[in-house]
Amino acid sequence: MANLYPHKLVNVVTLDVLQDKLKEMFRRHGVSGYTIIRVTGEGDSGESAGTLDFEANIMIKVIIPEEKLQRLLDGLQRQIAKGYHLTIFVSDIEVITPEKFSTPLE
Amino acid sequence: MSSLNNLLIPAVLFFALGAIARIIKSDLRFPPDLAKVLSIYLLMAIGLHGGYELAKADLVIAMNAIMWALILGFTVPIAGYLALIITRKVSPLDAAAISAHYGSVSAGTFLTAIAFLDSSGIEYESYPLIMLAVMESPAIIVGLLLAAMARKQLAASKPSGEAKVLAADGESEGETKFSHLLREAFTNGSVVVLIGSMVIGAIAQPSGVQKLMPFIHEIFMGVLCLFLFEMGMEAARRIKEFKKVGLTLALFGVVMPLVGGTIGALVGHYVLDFSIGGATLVAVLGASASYIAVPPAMRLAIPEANPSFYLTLSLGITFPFNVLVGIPLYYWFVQYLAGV
Repeated sequence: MANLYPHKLVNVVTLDVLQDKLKEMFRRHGVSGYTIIRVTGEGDSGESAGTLDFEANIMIKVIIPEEKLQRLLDGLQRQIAKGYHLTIFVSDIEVITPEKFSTPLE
Repeated sequence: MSSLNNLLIPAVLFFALGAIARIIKSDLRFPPDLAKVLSIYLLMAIGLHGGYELAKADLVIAMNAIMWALILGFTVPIAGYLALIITRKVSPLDAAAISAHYGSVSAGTFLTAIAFLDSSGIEYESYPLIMLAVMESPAIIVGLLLAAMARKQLAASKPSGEAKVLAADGESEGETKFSHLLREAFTNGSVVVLIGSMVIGAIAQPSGVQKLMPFIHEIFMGVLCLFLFEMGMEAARRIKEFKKVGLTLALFGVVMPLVGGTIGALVGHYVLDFSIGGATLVAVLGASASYIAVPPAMRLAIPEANPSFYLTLSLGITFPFNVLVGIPLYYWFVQYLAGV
């Protein structure tokens, strides 16, 4: 029977425009990978229908071990302080291959 | 009469149809990314066509046109910035972001002007097309410089403790970020497509370009209709933001293109000595505000600025104004300057 190991899933909803910037930041924090989904929705920055480039939204999902969480969140918070709109939430998840999430991206 | 003619061009009628579809809450939706596909096609087709014509053009006139495009691109946003600061309706950072939009250009407006000239059988030079390509980027740089200035003033007026917290963020951005943005301003997708296609049009075998005519010429106006159809919907989507923008800013969205259009018409007619059609296109360049290239750049570089200000102004007010009223008005003004 497979074992389950607790990990953290960080979700960031933001502008497609910020994609490169955030990817670079995730790399600096030694994440093992990320998944990006195009999303639409409505919130404090108004409606994002995603028809035009400048208002296309994405959701970035990153799975990390708990000990790396705080530093990553601090980094994200600095972006918010600069005025960027990020919607961030973290969930507790369980993974079956913890070693996969501890190797940083090349 | 010419203004009525402009309204009856199919492309402009489709723009209106898009806006109406949105206003009556029709369930009409375009597939995602269609606007992107269409704008790449439009820039590619106009670029190939223009490059092909430019290969036969005079280099001195072309260089002169490029120089004046740069002058317009750098000065129009500064004029816009000063005007916005005087109104005291927006923060300096908002003013920087808005004026970058007005210094840059809208290919959609430019192509609508071409549709207008074509349908009235008016000749025009191909030089304004190079100016279109050149004018995309300088305003972005001016916007960034104005924003950097505004931030410095803001930091100076703040108690020093607060400024330090912001500065101590441990990431070596700042200078590198600016050079990164400069690169982005010039490697912007629409600039690459437009200039690249112009080079291809200029150096490719003329017989090869001739074969492309069904693709770049015959279906061009149809694609422009589709593009403006969708843009009409996008423009009308901004209407609900009008209240946030307020009357003074909304007025800026109408007055600024008139000022830019007048400067453009004067430069096109007196300085560059273009035909009535050519000078009208330069006026349109001076008048139009970007809504494709500049908004993402500003969202990245000036996150403090409120996007609903600059998007509502450029896409919701100035673009429809230019398409419906501005183009025939600039044409009429150039005719007046030429004494026709």
